[in-house]
Amino acid sequence: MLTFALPTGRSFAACVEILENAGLPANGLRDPGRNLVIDGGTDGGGRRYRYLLGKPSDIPTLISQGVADLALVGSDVTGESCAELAELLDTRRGRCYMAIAGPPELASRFGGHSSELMGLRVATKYDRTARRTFEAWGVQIRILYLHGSVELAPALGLADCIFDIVQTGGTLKANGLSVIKRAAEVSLRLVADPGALQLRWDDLRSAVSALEKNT
Amino acid sequence: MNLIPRGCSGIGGELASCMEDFRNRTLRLFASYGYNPFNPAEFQLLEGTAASLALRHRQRLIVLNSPFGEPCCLRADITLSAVSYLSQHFSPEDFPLRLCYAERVFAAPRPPKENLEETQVGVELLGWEGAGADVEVVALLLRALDRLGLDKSVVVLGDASIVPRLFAGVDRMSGGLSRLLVDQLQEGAYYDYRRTVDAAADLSEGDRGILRELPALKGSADVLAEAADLFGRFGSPEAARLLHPLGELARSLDRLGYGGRIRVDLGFIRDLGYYSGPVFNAYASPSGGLLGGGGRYDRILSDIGLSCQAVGFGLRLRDLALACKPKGCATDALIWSGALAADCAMRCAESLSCRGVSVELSWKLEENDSRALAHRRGCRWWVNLKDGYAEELATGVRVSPEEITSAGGADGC
Repeated sequence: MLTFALPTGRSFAACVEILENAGLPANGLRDPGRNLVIDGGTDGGGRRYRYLLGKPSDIPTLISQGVADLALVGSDVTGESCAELAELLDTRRGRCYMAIAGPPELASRFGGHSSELMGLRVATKYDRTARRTFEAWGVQIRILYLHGSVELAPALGLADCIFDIVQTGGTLKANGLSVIKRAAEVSLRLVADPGALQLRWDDLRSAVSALEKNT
Repeated sequence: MNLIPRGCSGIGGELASCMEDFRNRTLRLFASYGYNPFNPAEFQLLEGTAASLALRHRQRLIVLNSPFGEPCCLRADITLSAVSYLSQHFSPEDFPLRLCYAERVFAAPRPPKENLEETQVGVELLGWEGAGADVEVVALLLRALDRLGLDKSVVVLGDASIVPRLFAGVDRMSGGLSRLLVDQLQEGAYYDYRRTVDAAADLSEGDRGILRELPALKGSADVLAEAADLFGRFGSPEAARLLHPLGELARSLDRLGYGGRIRVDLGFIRDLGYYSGPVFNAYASPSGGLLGGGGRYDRILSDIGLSCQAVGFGLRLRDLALACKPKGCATDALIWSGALAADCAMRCAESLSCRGVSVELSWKLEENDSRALAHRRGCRWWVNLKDGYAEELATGVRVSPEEITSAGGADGC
């Protein structure tokens, strides 16, 4: 049996489509209801597929703890988790990007010397990624960790800018913010438990190849 | 007051007994192959340790200043301590040096793990020439796992030197391409690795073909033949020689009867940053459970001016014990002296202990309290010295204390 972890939420539909396009057994995924463990059926070789549906941020844990063999998950999540994962494929689906956004007048500080950014107050739920990104530019920031609605923080004076995922930019615009600097591209990635790769490659190979051919 | 620092754990009960048992059994096994105990310092100098480790491990060092003002870290890696010990205390005429240890190492955890420390048991074989050392160490690893009852365990072999040596010539042109590829393989970034290979302008089509397919060569030792085919197909028959050390190692292990428990992974490069030849991971079973691993690290020796081989491995003692599902560790007998003098109980305990029966003394005043304690402890026997009998708690059978035997067959006096 091959166990696949999939993120619930807005990228779930894209994941189902990716699996179906690759011809992998995905019974029951179109309408999982409240089930979190789905028996997807068997492939042509008789291998059974089981799907675990989890919150996106929990997917790396399911993989690194060896509960699931493979997973589709956003690169924003894998980057933030720091879990030991093997990244096998970029599906190029669910594309968006991580960006620094803030009031338009902040843009001039980003255009100048990095010293102008020292001590910048950044609101984000991606604190590890934000810190890493700014440190790569030689800038130390102050993080304000928020679980959501980070766009509020600059307007309330809690932060100078935000570090978040941007899809259309609609929420930013509605809150008087604009993208100041793109930090990283984000898309759904196929990841695996490194141990499963070493021990069960023969089992995983056909699924990985099918997904590779169809992305 | 009753809390311990986050990331630390105090281990007791069956798990601790099992770990102690495994520690003793593995060290005895290693000693029987000529490995001498090694007690490394708990602190390591930060400069040398950081210089030898890959960046992602350097960032996990637990750094502190010694009271003498030296920048140090808590011991993060026993191999580095072993190399330091070798260089400080032995001349090349004294080589090889065989060391074994069961010691703690400390590092900041990678989420979702939280542990700051773990106990490793392992060996280091330093300063020996020839492929025999690799075979010796991997066979000893498998033998140790057998000795602990993990006879379904699996060892995955790789070679950290294949990619760098394949592209030693290319490197001069492409400015560290092989270093980048090695880093990407170490981090499991297979997708980025493939992108790097595809984008590298200096690579010939043959090299590109080999590099693209190398990480997908995983499975039984047969993949070595597939790799040789791959090298031949892309016009690098001489490069196939790079597979020889791994092939020899796999064949030797097969002849030793371990063929069914060996896997090969040509995309496997252990990620500490100092391995420079065959590397290996040990799993508790074919379905997983990483126990530890090791490999060849000649480069650390060459960094301190010694041109010889070194190879070793470390296994996490706690994971070993958990993989074996610890069995009960109850003492055989609880001895109750009643109102008798304490020296009577001590003499009885000594007599039983000398016959291999594990005992615990009960100083409770009430007979029933003592008997209840024996039940709670899971003891087989409850000894009533006052009335001069031993009772088997499960059956109620009474015998004289001299007739008690040990279930575990422990060592006598």
